[in-house]
Amino acid sequence: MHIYIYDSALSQKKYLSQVHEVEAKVTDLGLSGRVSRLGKLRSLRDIVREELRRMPKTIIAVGDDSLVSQVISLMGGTGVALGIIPVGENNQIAESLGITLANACNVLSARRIIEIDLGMVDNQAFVRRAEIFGPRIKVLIDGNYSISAPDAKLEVVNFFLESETTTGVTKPDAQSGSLYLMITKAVNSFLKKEVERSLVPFRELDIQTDTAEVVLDGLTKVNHPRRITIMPNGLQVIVGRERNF
Amino acid sequence: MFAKNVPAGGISNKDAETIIGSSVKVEGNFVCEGNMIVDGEVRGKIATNGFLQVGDKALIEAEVKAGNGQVAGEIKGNVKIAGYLEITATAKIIGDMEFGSISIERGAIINGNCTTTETVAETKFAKKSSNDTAEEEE
Repeated sequence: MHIYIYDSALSQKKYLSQVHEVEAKVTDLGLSGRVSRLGKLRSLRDIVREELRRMPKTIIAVGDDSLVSQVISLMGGTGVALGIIPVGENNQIAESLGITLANACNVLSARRIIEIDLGMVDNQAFVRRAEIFGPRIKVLIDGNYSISAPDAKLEVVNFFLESETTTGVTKPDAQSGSLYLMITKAVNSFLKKEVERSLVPFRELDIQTDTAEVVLDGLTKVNHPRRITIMPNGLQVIVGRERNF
Repeated sequence: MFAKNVPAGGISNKDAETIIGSSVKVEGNFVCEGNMIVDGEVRGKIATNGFLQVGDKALIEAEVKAGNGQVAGEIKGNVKIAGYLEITATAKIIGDMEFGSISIERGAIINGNCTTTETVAETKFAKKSSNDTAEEEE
């Protein structure tokens, strides 16, 4: 059975025609299933947990990156395939997976499934990146060596979005089996400002600063994080042909 | 004389698996697979089976082992390169060096013993597309 989770924003008038079009196409392709709508009385966590108990064939997030990231963080390691129908303003994750609103139903129908790695901050999953904040951050990589970079921005990247692929450094890939610590710092040279990027692949990263905070996929804050690890092949996801990796 | 497939003039960021910028400090057993670019500070040990590029701003106080290498910065510690080692004019190396083959540009400062290994292993430049590891051939 397919489970469709609708973002609460989709009840807005501006999305009604898009939702109706999607529903008509889903019916035409024989992909109909249960619909759960997010609302004030039901949290996403409760909905996903409840639906996973029914052993669905697919859980389909209908909404933007915010909904998709949250659903992914709850589905990691379950073995249930995730589908995405991108509706809304910000759909970069879907685009990276080769999914647009126009082709989403056909992509679901084709059911091309790949496994991608997820990142874990303590027990919470993230799909794309985790930003590390705090003064004088020091991290231990794979138990072997420590890295510090005063006044620089530290983040852990699972994969780059399409718009980020021209940053001049190697391209992290969600099927590489590694996460990447990316350190960026603005460097003023003689005539221009440049951004210096460092990139370190790892599987385990221990944060050795007590006052650190981590923000997962730009949405969820984790206070006092201790460890960032990879969940290899942690998510099965239905992808389009034009995916980034 | 020179190892095959060693990139002349170093490697670009896109060919490197690991990049340490000039603002970054690394301490410990810095062991990686694939090509590395170091422009920052490293203390402890560096080891890779790929290409190691040490930039002119880099400061390394470590034992260094790599498949091939290019050094433009400062290294205090012994250097062991299985294949070809290129030392540029800005380099300063204080420590013993062991290598398959070498070129040294005028102006480089070297203080230590140099040994050419008898069986020169021609270590290929590690291409990122091929399992991210260096291949070796006799």
